Amino acid sequence: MHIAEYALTLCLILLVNFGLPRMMPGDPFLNAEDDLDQPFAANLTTEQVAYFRAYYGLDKPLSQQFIGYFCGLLHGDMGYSIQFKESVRNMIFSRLPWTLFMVLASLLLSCLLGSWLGCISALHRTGSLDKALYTGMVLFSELPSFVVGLVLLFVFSVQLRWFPMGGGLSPFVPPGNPLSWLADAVHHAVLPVLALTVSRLSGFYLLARNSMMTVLSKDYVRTAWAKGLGAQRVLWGHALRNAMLPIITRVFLSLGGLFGGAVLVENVFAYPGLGALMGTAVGNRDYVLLQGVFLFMSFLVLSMNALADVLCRKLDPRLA
Amino acid sequence: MSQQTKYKRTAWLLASVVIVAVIALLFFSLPKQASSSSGGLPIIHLAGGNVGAPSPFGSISPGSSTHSDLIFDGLLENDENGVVPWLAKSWEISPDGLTYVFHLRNRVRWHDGQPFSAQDVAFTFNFFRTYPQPRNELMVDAHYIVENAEALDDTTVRLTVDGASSIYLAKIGSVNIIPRHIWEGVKDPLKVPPEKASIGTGPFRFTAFSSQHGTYRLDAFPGFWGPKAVVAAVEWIPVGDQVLAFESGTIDLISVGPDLAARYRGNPEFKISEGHNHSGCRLVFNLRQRPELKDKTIRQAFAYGTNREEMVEKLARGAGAVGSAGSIPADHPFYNPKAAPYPFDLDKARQLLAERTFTFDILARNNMDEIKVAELMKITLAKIGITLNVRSLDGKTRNQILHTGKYDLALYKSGFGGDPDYLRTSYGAPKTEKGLGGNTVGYYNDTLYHLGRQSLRELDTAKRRVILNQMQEVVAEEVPQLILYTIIENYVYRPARFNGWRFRSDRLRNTSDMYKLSFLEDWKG
Amino acid sequence: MSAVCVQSNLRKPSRILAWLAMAFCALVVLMGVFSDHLSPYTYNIPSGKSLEAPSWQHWLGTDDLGMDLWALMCHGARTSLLVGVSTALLAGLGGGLLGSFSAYLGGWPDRILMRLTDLVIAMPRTPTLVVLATFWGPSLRNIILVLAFFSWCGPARVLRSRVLALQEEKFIVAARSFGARFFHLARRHFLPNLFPLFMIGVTSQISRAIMAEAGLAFLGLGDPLSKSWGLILNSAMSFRGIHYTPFWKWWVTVPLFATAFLVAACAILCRELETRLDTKGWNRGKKAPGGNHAH
Repeated sequence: MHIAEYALTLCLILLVNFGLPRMMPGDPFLNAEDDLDQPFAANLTTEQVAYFRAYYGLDKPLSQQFIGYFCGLLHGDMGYSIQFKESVRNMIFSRLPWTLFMVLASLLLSCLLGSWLGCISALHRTGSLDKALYTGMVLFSELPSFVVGLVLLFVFSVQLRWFPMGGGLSPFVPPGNPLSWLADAVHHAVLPVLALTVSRLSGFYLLARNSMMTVLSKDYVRTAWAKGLGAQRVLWGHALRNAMLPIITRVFLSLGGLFGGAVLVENVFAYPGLGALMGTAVGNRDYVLLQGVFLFMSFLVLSMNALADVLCRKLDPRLA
Repeated sequence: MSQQTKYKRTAWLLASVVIVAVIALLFFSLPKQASSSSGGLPIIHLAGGNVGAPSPFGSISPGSSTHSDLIFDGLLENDENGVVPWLAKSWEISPDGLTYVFHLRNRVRWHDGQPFSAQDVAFTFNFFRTYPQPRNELMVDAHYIVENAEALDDTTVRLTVDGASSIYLAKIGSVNIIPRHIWEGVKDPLKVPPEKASIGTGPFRFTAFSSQHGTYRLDAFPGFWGPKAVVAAVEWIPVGDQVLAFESGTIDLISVGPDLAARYRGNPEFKISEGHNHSGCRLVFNLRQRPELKDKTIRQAFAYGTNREEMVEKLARGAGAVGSAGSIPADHPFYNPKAAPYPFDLDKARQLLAERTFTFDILARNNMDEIKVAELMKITLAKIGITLNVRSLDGKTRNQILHTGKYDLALYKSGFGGDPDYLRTSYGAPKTEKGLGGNTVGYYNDTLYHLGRQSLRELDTAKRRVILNQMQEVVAEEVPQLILYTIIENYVYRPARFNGWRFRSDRLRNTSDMYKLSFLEDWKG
Repeated sequence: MSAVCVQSNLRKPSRILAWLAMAFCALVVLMGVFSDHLSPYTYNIPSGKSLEAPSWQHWLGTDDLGMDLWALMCHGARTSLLVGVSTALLAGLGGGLLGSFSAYLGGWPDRILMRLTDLVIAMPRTPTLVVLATFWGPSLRNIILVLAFFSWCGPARVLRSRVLALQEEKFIVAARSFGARFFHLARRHFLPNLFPLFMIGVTSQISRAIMAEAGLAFLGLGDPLSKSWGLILNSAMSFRGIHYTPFWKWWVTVPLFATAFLVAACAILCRELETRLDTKGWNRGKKAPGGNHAH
């Protein structure tokens, strides 16, 4: 039953992802003189446009295109990007680990740190510590992530020279031992992960604070207190476990929006992720690439939401 | 303290020691920083970013051929002043202008060691006819200009073109020659891997490219036929913020706006190179959609009623010029100073409109620059009774509208450098043409049409100049489009690091840009 | 132990921050209402040189076109406030209500709603916007609708998970078994427990909506000259090399801080409300009369 439900949703999403890009006005071959970042010159002749349309199979009726796309997918073939002239599958799989690493690391960090601060705040509710933390966090969350990124770059890359100016790896280093490769990748990822962490921190903080406050007023927590258990035990042992539900939901929710959320940070650090790629694909009407990226995104959203459901049930057996 | 807590403490301590050790180990095993020189010659670093494989078909846009231009050679090379001999040491054009014979250099080798010959040149021009390149330079009026290309012997090649024209030589000369032994038999040129597709005869050879990271490395080719390279390699590396990267010495050249240039001016560590003001913003009238614009006086009212000095001052931040009335900018060799300019004059504009009022939609791309141009126009034109409604749309949506001609007025950026053939393509369209891109929809002017045909087919430069001068005067009077302003680009570099930078105006890229000769010794072919 | 004793502050929280927040919100509302009368200059005509630093003539300086920034901010307050608050309310409250209902009802309505949120979250944003722009054309209402459409899923899912957990609480199970109706449950139990979460949903949407409005205006869903706070910030940010010029000190910070303060003010007000509401919830939830929990 559940599988059928998800399959139906996936089909719907497939249809949307196929149809929506093609509903956008404009096509990859219609350019103006000032479109210098477009894959084709403005002065293509009608025959040349027809040639390219046929080359990418865009001259066929939509239904046929969709069937072709679907059959290709079954074979694991996602086609060739119109703009980048590369296999879409390779493009996505080569960038996916970077995005995944950056987003997962920052999500983990911001979730842990945010929840911790949130719990502290909840414990000190109505105290001045809570007030200070709360106001600070709300103001902090308004800093755009690229401003944070620029500040980090200026301090740690230009002034202190601790970290590189951008990119995901040191360029042109011959593949040597895996350890130094990993070190290099981590070295490059520190600043982007930090910037992204900072921008997500306050969301988790607010959620954890509220969730914790609700839980702290519950009977069983007060019972625990009455029993004379230490404040730390009560907080981390009993209350947090119960306050986790909305936080977990939120974590997986943000995982769904994985690619899109990191674009600004990717741009500031020239990080080789998928977010920026998606942006150019939209701007160029690169249907093939768009379909591929969107498919991945939808798949992630669906699987993450499903996972969140399962995990919530595990955490709170009463829901099952 | 209970036993349990003690164990916990120890575990925590151990865990943190391990974490610190791992981090330390990781950082000690970091690869060394990229070197900035090799064998006494500098390695140049530029801001990277993926613009496609550095091959004839790999480039992802017509405006991004910087990398492949270093790898491949054309028959001729363009420097700051015009064409210079390159792969061809000399050439002859038949008196009727239909046949070009190029005499090629000896002892030229491809990067894979194979000898280069006239066969390759002939093959190249035939291949690009079947498989159009992204930048499509050989198309004029939707015709591929080279009708026939054949090798007469190993060092002589003869091209036959579709008509006499003074603009063909530069076009033919700029085509990057590709090796026949690699491309012959290729049916799908887009899928040739860069290791094969990036073999040329140029001063640099392809060493590394990553589309994902946007990195390129080109090494000086020791077997290059021509002038010696003065750099060991050119590397394009990913940087987020170019200014920060330049200031930290990560990259060696940046292009900056006037406010930033002030930061480096007067500092002996930096040198600023000012480009031409050959790129700018123009206003396009759609005469088919709004027939009232066929009345020349209204278009002239637009010219008088638009405060273009203000645009230069506020939008170009002083580093630019008011668009010239004849379209060709003042520092262009074909500029005609007699084409009468339109100063900002509201009274004159009101006089021309004679109490008539109009409302137009103006189409802009979704970037702030164009929206601000539209905003300034809206403010001054409101004073003479022309109301503008600004619409901004995403680039491709706008293109769709430009192509279908469903707009009143549109703004877009374009280049005014290079050959002034754009006068013909923009204003001299034949009567039937719908008008796409640079053309003015619904505009037809008999004089401009005939002068345009003449300018395309005239082989004598002096006579062509006369024709182009005439065209500029007519354009200034007619205002088929209004050139609003052009901007000047500044390049900043550290002369102590590398001082060889040379810049040329590039109409394709809408800007003046550094190019191949920057990295080569001065040389008289 | 300190963790518990702070509860004693419950009765006398200092309210200065809350008053400040209230004052700022009021100021923004006033700016929006009387936008055209608050500045000696108009927002759409240059009144000075470009990029003048703040002075007595131009309190907040001027932008690159020479327009008075204070006049711009006053004019922009209306659009931004409208877009920010109504989107936030629509998305936060609407989404939250949908989520709570679906959790309460359970069964197939819940399933459909969850798959619907999957669909909306997975829906590519920019293409949808471009398509909508061509069909709808520019208007403020469309911007609010579109923004709300894209942001109701977060609150919906978070609140749903909260309600799911709540439903299993003993007092709710008990109330239900006594035949308590939905409205009774909602008023007595859900609302006090969910209100803080609702509020998070709402406040976090405000700034997002204010900033996103600029992007939609560019894509053809709004007026690119509307001079909302998002557009002012956007135009400052798109100024070449703004970080390296002195201009950011007023041109960037003014809209940025205005938005930040507005959101902070809303959040502080919410916190205040939450404290009050929660105090009642606390007392009601307890069997014994209220007392101090410390020690």
